[in-house]
Amino acid sequence: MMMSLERAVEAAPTATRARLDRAAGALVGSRCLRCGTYSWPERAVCHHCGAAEPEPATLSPRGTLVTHTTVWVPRPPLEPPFTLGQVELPEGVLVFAHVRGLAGDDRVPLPVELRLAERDDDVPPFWFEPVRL
Amino acid sequence: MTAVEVAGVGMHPFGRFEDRSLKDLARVAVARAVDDAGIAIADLDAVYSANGMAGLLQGQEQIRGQAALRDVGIERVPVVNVDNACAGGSSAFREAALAIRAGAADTVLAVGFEKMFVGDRDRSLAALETAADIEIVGGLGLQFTAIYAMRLRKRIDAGLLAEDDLVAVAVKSRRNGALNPNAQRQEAVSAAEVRAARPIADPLTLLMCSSFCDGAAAAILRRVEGAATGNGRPRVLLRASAAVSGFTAGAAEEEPTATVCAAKAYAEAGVGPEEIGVAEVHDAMAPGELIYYEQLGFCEPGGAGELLASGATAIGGRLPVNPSGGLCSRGHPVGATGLAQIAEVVWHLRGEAGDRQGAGRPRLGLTQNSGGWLTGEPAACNVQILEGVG
Repeated sequence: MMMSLERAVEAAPTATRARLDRAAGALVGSRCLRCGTYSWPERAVCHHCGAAEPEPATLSPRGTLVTHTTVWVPRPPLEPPFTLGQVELPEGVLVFAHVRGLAGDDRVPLPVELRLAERDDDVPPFWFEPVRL
Repeated sequence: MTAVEVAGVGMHPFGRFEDRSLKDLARVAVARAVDDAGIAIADLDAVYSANGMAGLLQGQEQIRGQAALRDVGIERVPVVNVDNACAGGSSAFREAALAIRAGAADTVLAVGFEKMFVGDRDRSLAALETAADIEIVGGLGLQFTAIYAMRLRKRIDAGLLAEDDLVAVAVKSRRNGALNPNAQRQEAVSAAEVRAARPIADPLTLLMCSSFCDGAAAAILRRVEGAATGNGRPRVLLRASAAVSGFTAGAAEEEPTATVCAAKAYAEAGVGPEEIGVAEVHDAMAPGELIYYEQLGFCEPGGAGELLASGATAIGGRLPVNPSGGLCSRGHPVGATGLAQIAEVVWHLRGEAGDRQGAGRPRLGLTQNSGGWLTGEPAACNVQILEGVG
């Protein structure tokens, strides 16, 4: 079957694609209109089916922390210790990000929620925190 | 298919060599490989040259191979510069093999060199972090130590690995490195020392991790004419050379990059993992070896700790893994690593590995070299299978 990639030729430049939806407090990725696969960040061509059908999609701000590590090596401007983690979003997307507020007895899988920094160019621009009920 | 042999290998020892330039490192590895093959520089038809960070760390970009290899008299023949992060060396090796199989060359040099000690830790760490999609990782401070740490933590939490296994494999790595005159780390360490070393990214401690490293490694690949029998010295044939790139990992379980790549290599060679008699795998952090036991089919999921404890993967076992000390102890000068793995396996297949030679000469050896990082999976992976004949 022929699938035209004309839409990929016309796709928005990567620098103009939204990464964060501040109103929703969420990340913006894309969803393929053909096969339904989500990506983060947004893609011009679906990595799953190869169609040029991804459309921008706001992702769920809540997900599941599946693993994490506390880093003890300084990486300016980051001062150790800081915690990195891997979060699965309900859309099936994996996101690597900073994690804050983990307690010593927290065990994965752990429900976490996205937090956005005040400005897009803050380091890091977003992170996840445990959902405390 | 055209038969290809690894006719010669050579290394510049791995370690900290502040007085040596990229040219010095490459020169020693190439001269040793050329002499080992019993050929002359003038016999080379083509060169594939691997380096990861000379552009960022030495300012030598764009024609890194042509520049580095002038000192050893390599001119005129085509030199192709190869990157692929930590998998650069094996990528250059594979391209060299493909050039021979394609009929474009008979005798080809694959060389990798790297110089990571530049007197500025932050600059070297920043250079290493570029082995990822920088649009994704920019500002995260996501080092490879953390990536390995998260992979290991996930397995520990799933009950597939124990923290003691991580310690035990680091002890094995250093014990092997202590037998390797080309290794960066040549001191054995105890389990207590590994546990007590300062934390890097939990559960990893300093003694489980490779560090910055300078070094070079080279291999001469050659078309095999006639019967591939040894002539007093075993010949080493390339039985398989497989490559894959990483992918966007999602929440759904998918076969890891190394498993997919190894399956291609096993199919090409017509052998299974149970036939491999020596392996060099990509353990930038020593416990990575345990992950690759599973991903390369050396054990079932969850069986890595048991395989290690059985002694099967120690020198003298039925499948020595990383007898060189691996990346963790031999050292990991990024662009050179894949070719140092090849050199180590060639020495074992020939029976020339000295104190690291196990019981007898294995017939089949495997190398697995991964590079870079794409959302949870290595960006590049190469698996080679070599056979000693005669």
